[in-house]
Amino acid sequence: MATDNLEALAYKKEVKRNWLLSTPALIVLVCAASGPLLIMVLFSFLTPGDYGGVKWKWSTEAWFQVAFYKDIFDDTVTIADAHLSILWRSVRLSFLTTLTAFLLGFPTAYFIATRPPETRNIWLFLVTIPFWTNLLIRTFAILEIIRNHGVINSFLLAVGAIDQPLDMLFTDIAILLGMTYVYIPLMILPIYASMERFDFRLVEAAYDLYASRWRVLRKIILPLVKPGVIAGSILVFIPSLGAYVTPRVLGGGKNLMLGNLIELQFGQGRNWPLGAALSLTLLAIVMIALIFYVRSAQKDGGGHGH
Amino acid sequence: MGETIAIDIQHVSKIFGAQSDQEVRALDDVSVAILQNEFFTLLGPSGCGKTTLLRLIAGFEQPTNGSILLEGAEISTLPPFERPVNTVFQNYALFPHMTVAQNIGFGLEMQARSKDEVTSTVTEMLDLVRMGALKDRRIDQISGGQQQRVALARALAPRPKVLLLDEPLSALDLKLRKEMQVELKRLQHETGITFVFVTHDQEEALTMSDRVAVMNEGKILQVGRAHEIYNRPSDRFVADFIGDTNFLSAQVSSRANSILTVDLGSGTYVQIDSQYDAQPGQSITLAIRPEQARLANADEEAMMQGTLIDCIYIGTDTHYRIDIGREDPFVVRVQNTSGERAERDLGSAIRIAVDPIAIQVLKD
Amino acid sequence: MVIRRGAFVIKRMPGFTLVALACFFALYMPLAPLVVYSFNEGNNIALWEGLSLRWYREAWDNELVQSAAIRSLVVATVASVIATVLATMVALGTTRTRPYRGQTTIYALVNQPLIVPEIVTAVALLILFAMIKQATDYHGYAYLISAHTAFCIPFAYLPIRARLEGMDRVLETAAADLYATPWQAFKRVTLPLLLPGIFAGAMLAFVISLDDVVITEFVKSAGQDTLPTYMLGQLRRTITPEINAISTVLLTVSVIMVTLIFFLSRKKAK
Repeated sequence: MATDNLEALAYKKEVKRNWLLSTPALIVLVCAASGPLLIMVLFSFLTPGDYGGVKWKWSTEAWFQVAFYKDIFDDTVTIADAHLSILWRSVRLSFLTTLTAFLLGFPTAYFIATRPPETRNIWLFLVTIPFWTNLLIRTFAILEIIRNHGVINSFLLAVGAIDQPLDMLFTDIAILLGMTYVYIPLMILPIYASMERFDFRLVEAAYDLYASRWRVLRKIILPLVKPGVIAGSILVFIPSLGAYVTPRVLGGGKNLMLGNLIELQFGQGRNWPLGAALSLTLLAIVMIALIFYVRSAQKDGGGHGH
Repeated sequence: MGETIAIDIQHVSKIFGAQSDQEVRALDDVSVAILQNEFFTLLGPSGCGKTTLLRLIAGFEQPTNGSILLEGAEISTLPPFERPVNTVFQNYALFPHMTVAQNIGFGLEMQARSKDEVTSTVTEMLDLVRMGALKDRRIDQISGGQQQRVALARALAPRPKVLLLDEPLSALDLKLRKEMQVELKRLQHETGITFVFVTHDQEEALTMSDRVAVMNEGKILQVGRAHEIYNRPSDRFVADFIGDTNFLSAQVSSRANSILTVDLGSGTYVQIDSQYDAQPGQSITLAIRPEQARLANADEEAMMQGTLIDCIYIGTDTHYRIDIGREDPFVVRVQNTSGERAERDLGSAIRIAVDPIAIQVLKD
Repeated sequence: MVIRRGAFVIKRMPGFTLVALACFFALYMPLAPLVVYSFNEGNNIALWEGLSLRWYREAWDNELVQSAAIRSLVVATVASVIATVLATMVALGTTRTRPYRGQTTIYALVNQPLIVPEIVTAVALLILFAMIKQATDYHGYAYLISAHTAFCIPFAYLPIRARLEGMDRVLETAAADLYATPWQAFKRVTLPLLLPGIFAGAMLAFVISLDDVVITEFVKSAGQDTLPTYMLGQLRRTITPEINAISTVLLTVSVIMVTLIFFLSRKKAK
C-alpha cells in the first residue's frame, strides 16, 4: 500500500509551490522595504559624519539626542524642548486631523450608504478620485486657497471685507486644514465599507422601541460600524503622524512636524544617526497605535468580517 | 456488462484533520469493485462519504490508506490530469470565459489532439447531447438544463475509461430531472463507458443503475442490483433508507438448516428461510415492505392482527396504518385497482398476511 | 401614495446630508481654481488675464519638466509592470490555499509598505542607497525603480487577491480533470479570469508610483527629479501657473485611470 504518505506529499508540494511563487516579491520587499529598516537601526547607533553620512563608530548619542540636550559648554543635561514640542505638535495635529476627518467623514459615509444603489457608485467614484490624486497637488490646491495672494484673500480684498491679507499660511491651522483635506477619503471609505453591511432594519426596530435619533446613532449605528471607524481612524492617524509634504508646504520652516524634523537631520542638520533614531521613534509610536487598533477590533467579538 | 473490473477500491480510508484533534473519518476501510461498462451508483445520505470516494477516484484528494486500481493499475499516486477519468461536477464548473464548443473541446485540446480531430469530436458530442444549435453561446447565456448537458459532453469528449458524476441532476427541476435520468442511461449504453454516479435520491439510484452501493458514515453497507438492495437489504439502515419498511423485533425460537423459526410474541410463529446465522434465543429484526403485506381474507391464516388507525388514499395506492400492539404502526400498502377500493372503518379489526419469503432478517 | 411632508424617514439623520454635500463640495472646490488658473495668461493667481495655453506650452518646453516627466513615466511603467507580476505571483501563493507556516509572515511583509509611514521607509532607503552609492558609485535608475517597485507591490496585490478569492477553485479542478497540467490550467483558466484584477492592480500601481513624493524625494540623486519632486522644488522657490498646468495634467491622468478601474470592477460584478 504505497498510499500512506500521499496526502502529506501533496501538501508539501503545495507549500513549496506557494513559497516559490512568493519569494521574488519577498526578495524585492526585503531589499527595498523591510531590510533597510534594520540598517536604519544600525545607523541609529553610529556617530554623525562631518559632512553628512556616518562615521563607523558605535555611539548611543543619537538616541540620547532624541529627548535630551546636552549643553556643549557646561555639560548640563536638559530636556530637548524643541524635539518634544515637535513631537507634541505631531501627535496633537494628527489627533485633531483624525477627529475632524471623522466629524466630516462619518456623515459623508452615512450619506453615501443611504443612497439608492444605482447612484451609490457615482458617489463612491466621486470620493475615490481625490484619493488617487497626487498628495502634492491637493496640498498645492489648499496652498493656492489660503496664501496671501490666494483665492480667499483675493476675494475678501476685492469685496473690501479686509484691507490686509489674512495670514493663514504657515500656521498650525493651515497644516490641520491641509492634512484633513488630504486624508479625509481614507476615513470615508472604510466607514462606508462598514455601513454598507449595516442592516438598517435594526434602526427600524430601535425607532419602534421609542429611541430618539440621537440614541439610535449612539447606541445602534456607531457600535456596529465601529470596525470601519477604527480602520478609518488608523488610516488617517498614521500617515498624519509621519506627514512630511503637507507640513513642509503649508507650515513653512517654523511649524515642524516629526517628518520635517527627520528630514532636517539629513539636510542641514547633518545628523544621520539622529534622523534614524527619530524615524524609529516614529515607527514605534505607529506600532503602538496599530496594536491598539488590533486590540480594539478584537474586543468587538473578533471576526466582524474584516 | 462485462465481468472485467474497471475500478478496484481496496481498503481505502480517508481521514481529514489527522494531525489535529478534529479528526473526521470520511471513508472507513472501503472496498468495492466496479465493473467495466456498468452504471454503478454510490447512494447514501449527505456526509456518508460518497462524494469523497468519487473525488479520490478522480484524483482531487489522496487516500489516507488503501489503493485505487484502474484496470489493474494503481492510480492513487497519479495527479488528476494523468488519469483517464473525467468528472461531471455538481454545479457543472463550466468555464465562464469560453463558449459551449470551447468548453467541450477543452479536454481534447489538453490532450494535444489535432485541430480537425477536436472540431469533429466536438460536433459529435454536440449531437450526442443535442446542443448543436448553441455551440457558440457563452455559458451564462444558456439554461441550467443546457449547462448540464454541456458538462456531460465536455466530460465525455475525451473518451475517458470511467465517467464520474457527482449528483449532476440535483439542481434540476423534477420534470427535467426525469428526462435527464433517461438521457443518462441512454448515453451510458451508447458509449459503453463505465459510469460511477453519486446521489442521495434512492429512487434515482434504483431507476438508473445496474448496481448500487449503499453507504453510510464512511462505510459501504451493501452492494447489489436494484432488486437485491430493495428486497434483501442487509441491515437496518439500508432497509430504512431505501423505500419504506416495517420493522419488527422478534426472537429466534429454533433453527433447522436454513429455516429459522421466529417468535413474534403473542403466540405467533413464523418460519423464514434465511442465510442469516442466528442462534436460538437471539433477538433479531424483521423487515417487511408495506406492499408485500396483505389484508388477510377471512379464510386466510393471518400473521398479525390489530386495529386500523388510519387509511390514507394516495391515488395509486391506499396505505393502511395498523396498530399491532407495538411501538410503531404497521403499514400495509394496497394497490388501488379499479373497483376494488376496500373501505374499512377506522378502529375495525384488521388481519395481516405476509408471505414468509418476503420477510427479510436483518443484522441487529 | 407616499405622504412626503413631515414624514419620518428612517434613514435620515439631521444635518448629515448637509455635511456630506458640503464635504463633497469641499473636496472638489480647491481643485477648481487650480485647474482654472492653469489656463490664465498672466502670472498672478488673483488676476485673470485671459484664456491661454501659455503655461502648458512653457511646461512642455521646459527641459527640466521634460526630463522629470520622462523619468516619472519610465519609473512608473517599469515599477508597475514588475510590481504587478510579482504581486500576481504572491497572490497565487497566498490565496485559495491550505494554511501553511509562514503565510502570515508573507502577508506582513507584503503589506508592510502600507503600514509603515512613508518617511520612515524613505529614510531607511536613503541610508541604504547612500552606502551602496559609496561602494559602487552607481547613480542610475535602479534605486528609484527598486524603491517604487517595493511600495507598489501591496497596491497591486490587493485587487488581484480580491479577484482571486472570488474565483471558485472548482474551475481549476475541472481543468485538471480534463488533462490540463497545472501550468495549462493556469494559462487557460486562472489567468484569463484573473485578468481584470491584474489590470486594476497594474493601474493602481502605476498611479501610486506616478504620484509618489516622499520616498522619491529622499531616494533620488541630485538632478534626478520626477514630476512630483520637481513640483515640490518649485513650491519652495517661485510659484508660477506652470505648476497649475502640470498639476492639471496629472489630475487628468488620475481621473482617467480611476474611471477605467471603476468600469472594470463594474463589468466583473455583472
